[in-house]
Amino acid sequence: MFVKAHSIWNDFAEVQNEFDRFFRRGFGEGARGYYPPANIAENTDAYVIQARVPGLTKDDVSVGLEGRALTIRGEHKRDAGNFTREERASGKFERTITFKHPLAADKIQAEVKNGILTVTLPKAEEAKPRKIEIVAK
Amino acid sequence: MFGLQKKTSENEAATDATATRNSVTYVPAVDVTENETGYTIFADVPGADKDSVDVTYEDGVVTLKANSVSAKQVEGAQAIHREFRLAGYERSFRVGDDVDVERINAEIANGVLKVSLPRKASAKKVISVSAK
Repeated sequence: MFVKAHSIWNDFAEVQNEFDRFFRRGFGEGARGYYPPANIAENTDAYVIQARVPGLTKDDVSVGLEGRALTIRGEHKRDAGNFTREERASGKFERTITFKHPLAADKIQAEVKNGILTVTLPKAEEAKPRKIEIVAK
Repeated sequence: MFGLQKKTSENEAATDATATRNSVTYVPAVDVTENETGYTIFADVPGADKDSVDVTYEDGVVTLKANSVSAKQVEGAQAIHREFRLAGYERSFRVGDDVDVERINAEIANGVLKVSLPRKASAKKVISVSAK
C-alpha cells in the first residue's frame, strides 16, 4: 500500500511540472518549456535526468539548481551558410523541472556526451527512505 | 523434418518481429548547406557515436544510419517520465550528378553526423572550333 501512496506523490510532481511548463512557455527570448526533451529516472538515492541536446558541448549548456527546481539552459549555435534545408533546432532554450524531494545541491553531477546531457541529482539525506528502529522496553 | 524446420523459422520470424517492434527508427532532423565546393548534411543523431553510424552510397542515394548506444543506466532506477527514446536513425538523400561520389566523407561529433558531398571539379571544357 505504501507503494501506491508513493506513486500518488509522483503524480503531484507531474502536475507541478505541467504548471511550470505552461507558465514558462512563450516568454522572453528563446524556447522555454518543453525543450529539450528529457527522460527522468529515479531510485532511492537520486534522480537521473537525460536530455536530448544534439550538437552541444559542455560549454554550450548550463545546469542550475534552485531549491527543488532544476534549470537547464543552453544554446544551439549554427554556422553561417547557405541553408537549403533547416530542420534542426537553433537558438537559446531554457527548461525547469521541479522535483518533489529536497535535493543535495552540492552533489549534483552533469555531463554531456554524444549529444545527451545526463544530470545526476542526489536526493537530500532527509528525503531518503530510512528504517526506524523500534525500541522494546 | 520439414515441419520442424518450418517451426524453427517461424519462431525466428516471431523473434525478429518482436525486436522490430521494440526498437524505433527515427528520421533525424537535418540541415543542408550548399556552396561552390559542395553540399553538407548535418543530421541530429544524439546517443550515436563513431562505431554506431553507417553512411552508404548506392545508385545516386546517400543513406545515413545511426544507432543510439544505450545511455548510462543507473542501478535500481525506474523511469518516471519519458519524452524521447534512444533509438535508431535512418534517412536517405538523392544526390545530384555534380557530386564527386569518391570524395564523400562523414564525421560525427556531439551527436551530430556531418556528411560532406564535394562537387566534382568543374567539368567545363572549352572545345575549340576549327575553321575549314
